Amino acid sequence: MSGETALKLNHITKKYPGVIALNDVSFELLKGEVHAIVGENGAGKSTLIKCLCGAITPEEGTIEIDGQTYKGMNPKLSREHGVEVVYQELNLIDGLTVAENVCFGAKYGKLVNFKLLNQKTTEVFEKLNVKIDPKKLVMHLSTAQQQLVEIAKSVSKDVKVLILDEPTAPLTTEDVDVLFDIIRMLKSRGVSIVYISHRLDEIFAITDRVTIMRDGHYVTTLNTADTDRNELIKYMVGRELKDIYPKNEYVTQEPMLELVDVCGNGDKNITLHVNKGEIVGLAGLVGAGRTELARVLFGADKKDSGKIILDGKEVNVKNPGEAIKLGIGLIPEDRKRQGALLNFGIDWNIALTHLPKISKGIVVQDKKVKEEADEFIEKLKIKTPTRNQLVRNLSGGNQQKVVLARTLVNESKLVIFDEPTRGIDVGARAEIYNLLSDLAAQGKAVLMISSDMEELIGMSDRIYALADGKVTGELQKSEFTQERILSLMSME
Amino acid sequence: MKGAIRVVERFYILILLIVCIAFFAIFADRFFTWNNLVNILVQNSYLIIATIGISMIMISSGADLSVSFQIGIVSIVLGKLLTKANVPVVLAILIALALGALLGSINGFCAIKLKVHPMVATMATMTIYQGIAYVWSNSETYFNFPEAFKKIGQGKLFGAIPICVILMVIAVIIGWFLMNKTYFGRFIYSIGGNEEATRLAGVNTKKIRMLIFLVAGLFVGVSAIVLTSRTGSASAGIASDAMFSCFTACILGGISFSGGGGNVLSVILSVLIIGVLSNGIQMMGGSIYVQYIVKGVLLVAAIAYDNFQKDLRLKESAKTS
Repeated sequence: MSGETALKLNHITKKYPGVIALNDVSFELLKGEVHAIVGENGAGKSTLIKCLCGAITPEEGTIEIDGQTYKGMNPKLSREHGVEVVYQELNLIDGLTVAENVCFGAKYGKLVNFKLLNQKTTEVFEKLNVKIDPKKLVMHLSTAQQQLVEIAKSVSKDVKVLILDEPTAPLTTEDVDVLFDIIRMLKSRGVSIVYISHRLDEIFAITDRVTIMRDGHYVTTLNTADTDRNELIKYMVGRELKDIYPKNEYVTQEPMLELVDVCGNGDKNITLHVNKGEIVGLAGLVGAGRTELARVLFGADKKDSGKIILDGKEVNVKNPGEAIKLGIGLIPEDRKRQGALLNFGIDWNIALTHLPKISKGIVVQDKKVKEEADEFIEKLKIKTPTRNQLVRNLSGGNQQKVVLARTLVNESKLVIFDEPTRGIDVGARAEIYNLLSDLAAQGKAVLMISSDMEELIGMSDRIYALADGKVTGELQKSEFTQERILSLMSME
Repeated sequence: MKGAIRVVERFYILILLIVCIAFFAIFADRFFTWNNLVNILVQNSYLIIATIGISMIMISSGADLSVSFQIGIVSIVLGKLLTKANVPVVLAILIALALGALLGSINGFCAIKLKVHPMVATMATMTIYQGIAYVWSNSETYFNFPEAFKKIGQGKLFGAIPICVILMVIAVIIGWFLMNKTYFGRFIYSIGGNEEATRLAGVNTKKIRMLIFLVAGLFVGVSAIVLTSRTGSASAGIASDAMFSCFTACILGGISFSGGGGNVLSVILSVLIIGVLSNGIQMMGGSIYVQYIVKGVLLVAAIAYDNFQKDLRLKESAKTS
């Protein structure tokens, strides 16, 4: 850090009909610093980024960069000043090779010179210590690899300010380390980095300063070294959150789910059990076979062999419909694509799983649909103006509650959560955790897949680690440590 | 002003229909007469009935390009049964309906069980059905249908209301009811919105999609009966323009290419717009080829409008996030 200013926002205000997204926000980024911006969803982080990169123009305020003052940015101008953004949603072109994507926009001669592109990309990757074949098609990469390609793409240009929006959301612990190395390397080259993340431990691991925002307002900027997570959370939510993980006191020794040598969908000989009233965590890297196992249990993918015993009876789950009838509920990882129907109202999303049940003949009873929606909006405290609000317009936490309502409406005995709080802000997380522990308290069994170490340790009563499609270990609550879980996860 | 824009957005199909009617009422001499307007309804009744079925497929993000020759095959079978084999009318109608359901199910089988993209699957069945229809009929046209059968398309209730229009209205009511009041209809919309999420919500989406093709086939069967009866003739190419009109009407009626949106009533109004355009152009002395040009322009405009709306929605949602 040199103390020199790289970029400065002065009193920025951005209004949208009905909301003030940014209200008199000022922000200063120093050369060569890693600066975190934190805040709950809706705090104005995304809008701030959009102002920085010129996607939108603020109504009031100025942007200072390279000693020049602008009323607003535009995408071309911000590029010229070396501002690059890596968005949460990746912007790669699936059908092109890694090298073509990394060098996208750069012109080397009239025809595509693959040799040159590959060479340039290899250079960039070497510098970043990324091990991906430049000749591969992007569509054949994992999400984590795609994320690294996206970052490499920004870095391949003459970047001065790199903005990372939730860069670790799709990454596993190992990949996060690679990313952190990249960030440190860029920092040593004098690049300033704006780092946006919901994961507080990352903020403490990598950032120099942290700016907190709340409801479109600037709250404060702190030196990361001088603060702690409680203080950050206090500023973010405007109140103190003590322990967000509720205690589960209802664990029994009666098994609800038993798996014996289950194979299929890439998983091999999975043997595990979940007791009634118990929350069991599944730890593992991306690709370890956790989501795959959940899909087999839910009948979304096929089982090759092995026994699934639910509540004492062996079951053969052929499809998700049957799983639901048997009392298995799944809250999928990708809420927007596999969970909720974004263009439907809350009421229809909840009703969908059991429409025939609330119909007379084939005619749906609208009254029942409404009553149910009202019931769950109240029970799960779904924040919405109306029951037929499109799910698209709800926050991540509330979308998750809508998907959860479906498993409740079907009175599931076993609820499988795949990444229950991905992309959900701190305040809403605590609510989801409480709902999870309520489920356990009702004697249901909960199987929770999570890549968030803190959540895994905080919520689980027992943890199984998976690696490469196999169970590599089981840990009791007293044995939980980050190191032990990590070492089991990375066992071959 | 904003309110006015909203009204236009909401009722744009109805407004467009009224504008078309007003245009021809002014510029085409014999257009705005009771007889001609009834005639438009009669002529398009078969198309509306078929389009109800096709719109179900399209809302579930499928497609059916084979509708013209589904009608062709059913028509020919009706011709063979009623003018050559002298089968009782009721039986012939039942066979026609079953055949419609079968042809629809074959489309469904190709699209769902064989996992061929519905657009491609039905493009293939379109030429298969076309071939079958011409081979079976030897390119012949069948005439001399029994009077009882001709009543369906040519008869009038109380000497005033054409029976085919009544059938059309019943089909519209059934279609609307299915789409809006039954879980079958809700599943059609949710599959169109996001098939994987619907499947994971426990819906047997493959079964429902097969059922959609079957039900659409039934509507197409009814459509073929009405058309064959109204024209009093059966031939392979009897409805060769139907596919284009169905497709255009679905898009114009707000069914997005990717499925999920749209409603049956707007789609039906869209069929009427196409019907009014065809009729009006004819009245002004334009040939069938002029109609082709206008229909093509209409299709492009409808898709462009659909995209324009999508962009607008994207912008709006970008604002709120």
